[in-house]
Amino acid sequence: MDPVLLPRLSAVQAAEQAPVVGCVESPGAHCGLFEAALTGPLFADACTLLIGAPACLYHARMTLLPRTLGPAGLKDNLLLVPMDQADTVFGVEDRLVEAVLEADRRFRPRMLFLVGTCIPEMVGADLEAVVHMAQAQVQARLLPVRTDGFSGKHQLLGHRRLLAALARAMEPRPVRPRSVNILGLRGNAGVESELVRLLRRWGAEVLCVVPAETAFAQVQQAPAAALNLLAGEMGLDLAQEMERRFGTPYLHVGQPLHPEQVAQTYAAVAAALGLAPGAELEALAAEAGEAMQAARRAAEGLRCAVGTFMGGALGAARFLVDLGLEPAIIFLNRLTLQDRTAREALLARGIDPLVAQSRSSLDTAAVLAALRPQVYAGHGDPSAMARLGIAHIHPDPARALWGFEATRWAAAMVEHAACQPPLARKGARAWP
Amino acid sequence: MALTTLLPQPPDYLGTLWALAGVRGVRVICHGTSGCTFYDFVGFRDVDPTRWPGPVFTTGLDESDIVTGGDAHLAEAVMEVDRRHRPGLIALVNTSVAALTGADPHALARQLQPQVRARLLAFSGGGMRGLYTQGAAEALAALAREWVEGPSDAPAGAPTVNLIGPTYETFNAASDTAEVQRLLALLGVRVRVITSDTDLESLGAAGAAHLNLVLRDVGLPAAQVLEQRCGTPYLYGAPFGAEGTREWLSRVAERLGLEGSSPQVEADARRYHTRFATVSPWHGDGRPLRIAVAAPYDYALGLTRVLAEDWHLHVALAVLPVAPLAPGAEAALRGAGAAQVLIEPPEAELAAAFQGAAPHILLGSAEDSRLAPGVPVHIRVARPSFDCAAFHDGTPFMGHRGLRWLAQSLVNAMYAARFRL
Repeated sequence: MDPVLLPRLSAVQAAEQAPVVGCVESPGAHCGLFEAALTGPLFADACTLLIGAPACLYHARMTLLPRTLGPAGLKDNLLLVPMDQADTVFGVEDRLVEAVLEADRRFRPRMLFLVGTCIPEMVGADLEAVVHMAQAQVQARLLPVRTDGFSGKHQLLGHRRLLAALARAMEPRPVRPRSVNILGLRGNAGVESELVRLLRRWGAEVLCVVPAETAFAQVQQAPAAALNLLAGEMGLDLAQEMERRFGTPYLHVGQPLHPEQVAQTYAAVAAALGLAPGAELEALAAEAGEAMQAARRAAEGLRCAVGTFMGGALGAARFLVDLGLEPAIIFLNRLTLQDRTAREALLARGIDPLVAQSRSSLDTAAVLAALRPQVYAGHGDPSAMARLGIAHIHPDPARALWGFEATRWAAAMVEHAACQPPLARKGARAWP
Repeated sequence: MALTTLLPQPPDYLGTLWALAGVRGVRVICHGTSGCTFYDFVGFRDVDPTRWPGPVFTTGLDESDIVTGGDAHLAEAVMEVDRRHRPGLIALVNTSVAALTGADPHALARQLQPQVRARLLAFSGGGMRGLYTQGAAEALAALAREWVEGPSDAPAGAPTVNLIGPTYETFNAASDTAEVQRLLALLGVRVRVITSDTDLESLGAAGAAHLNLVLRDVGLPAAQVLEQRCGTPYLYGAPFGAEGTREWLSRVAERLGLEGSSPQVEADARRYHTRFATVSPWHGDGRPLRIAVAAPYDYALGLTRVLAEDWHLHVALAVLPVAPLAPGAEAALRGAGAAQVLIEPPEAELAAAFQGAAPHILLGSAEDSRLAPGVPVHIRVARPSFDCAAFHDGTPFMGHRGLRWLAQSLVNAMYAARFRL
């Protein structure tokens, strides 16, 4: 698609209004299985039973296994029930009951996610019936999760449904004052995040961080929280279900990057819990400010493109604008809760970049080649960016960060990107 | 057991994709949900992070398509890819989802062919019909049948061959095919096409080769097609070890009417000849070193021959994770010196076999190593190999240099195991 045909942000209210770059998807959005298979291992005493076509299970396990290596590797807790043609005709429920019993006997998990995929959905496999038949015979709490790819693409449904399933492992508890759960902070490092450390220092009790090495006992304690902090939208369904069943209110805190937003969000959390923030906030804000200044010195004037990022693409664009970068285009496949306020803030400052939805990495690369940004922040194919000579800031390493630590990380990444010698920079020229 | 903790063997659908990924210029449209193709794309990178396979497109089926059928999406995608990318060949590949809806890409390809510039090839397997070897064999045969041009006079000059069988995911293919090319060059033979790394133009002219060398069983149907269509004879087998490589080169030379040996070949064999006993750090208590080999057939057979015939080591167990397409595999492995042979064993049987054989060294995949934690020495010779990169082209297990590299790999792994103890 010729970039000249793309609209600007001011003309787009919702992601669906952004034109799609590329008619044929390539390689396409990831599915709920991809999300669930990488989230299940973040539960300390759980196993995740994947049910589906051999190709799906091969890919799911193959994607996890390299991530289990090394000193900080994920737990390898995937169990597989590959379906064959006979299963699609005669049903798979009996095999699943048998598999549940075997998983319980061999691995003794406290929670067992039963993750269904496209093929069991298409043949009408009844995971609820499996739970009904097997639950009384096993120690593990059985948690069915639907992750079919034909309804879940690009909408975090794999994450959301897996986390929402946790509500089935919860019972009502007396509420403890000044206690919180943090939902949607993904990664084992989430339990050591700045948010958790500060809340504890200020006297709050952090009961459960999900999904971050979360144990069954913590999940069971979660309904005792006075407040759920919704850091990532993957926790939204769980937050709403806990509000419905246990009356636990939730506060959407998102994953802000700009120091001012971080400070405001800390203030809002403290107010909601009746906490008195300590003086360390000022020091942390000052450190983050210094990191921002260093990044600005290095990156001011560079053009950037922004895709899916922690907290949302528009929030990331706003952060980059604060560092002096000029967003040439924003790939807006989803509009997060945070993005709505970020959009207004960008437009109020006269920042009105091109917007598009990205469906094809090939066509996205063509648009980027035409616009020639020097920096790309967001999910995307690192090798494609390398070929284009664009410095790539991938958000994944920071998904368990929250607070000024996230600001410092993002600023450092921008500074680092600006110091790389990307090929695009050599012939960089503004467009249009 | 009702469940498995091991990777399932990749299904036919993935074999098809991996075979097509070795041919630059092919555009693949996967008919299914977008998540299938995203995973395929990530999988390409897992196999070899240094290569750039062609783009893979998806029809991105949604819930309504599952009910009403998604053929319209496939037709749109074909027209769009043909119009915008102008490829020579477009492959329409069913995923499991599309196959279960009864999608028929063959019929659609026939219907659309007159309307597009690209040649259309359809693969309806879908991934619940067989294993990846079947998909790879079918895809290579389809390329040989539908894309390779008909009979042509072999060009004058140096004899030429094609290397048939390696595909995108074949373990260590970069190194092994480089070594095979080097060996053939010693005979004055030039390689035209390697199926794991070629382009449409070269593949189209593959019928002009004097001989097809099938290095892996999945290449046999394609070689048979080329023999019928182009009259090109083929030779099946891969060069492993000193004796095996000498024999292989002799057979190649005989088929091409060349001298089987030459001063260069002899010098090369002497240069890389390695007696394991002279470099081995094994100082057992009088008991022999026991080895298990677990790899696809051609590799398992070749390695067993090196270990048992060249080095007189005890191969206590040979495991084929997938049944070979060529007949007589078990007899061949036993003949090469394997004391016990298992073909497609279930997880529990394989774990028990490893325990029973109690090898000191396991040459196998990362999943084999997980099943045999008590084995002190592990060498990666098969996929999945997520704990071991194998993209460099200078570490062959085939050929003269492969003999030496295998010896060095064994020695180093044995030293490392000793330090761990």
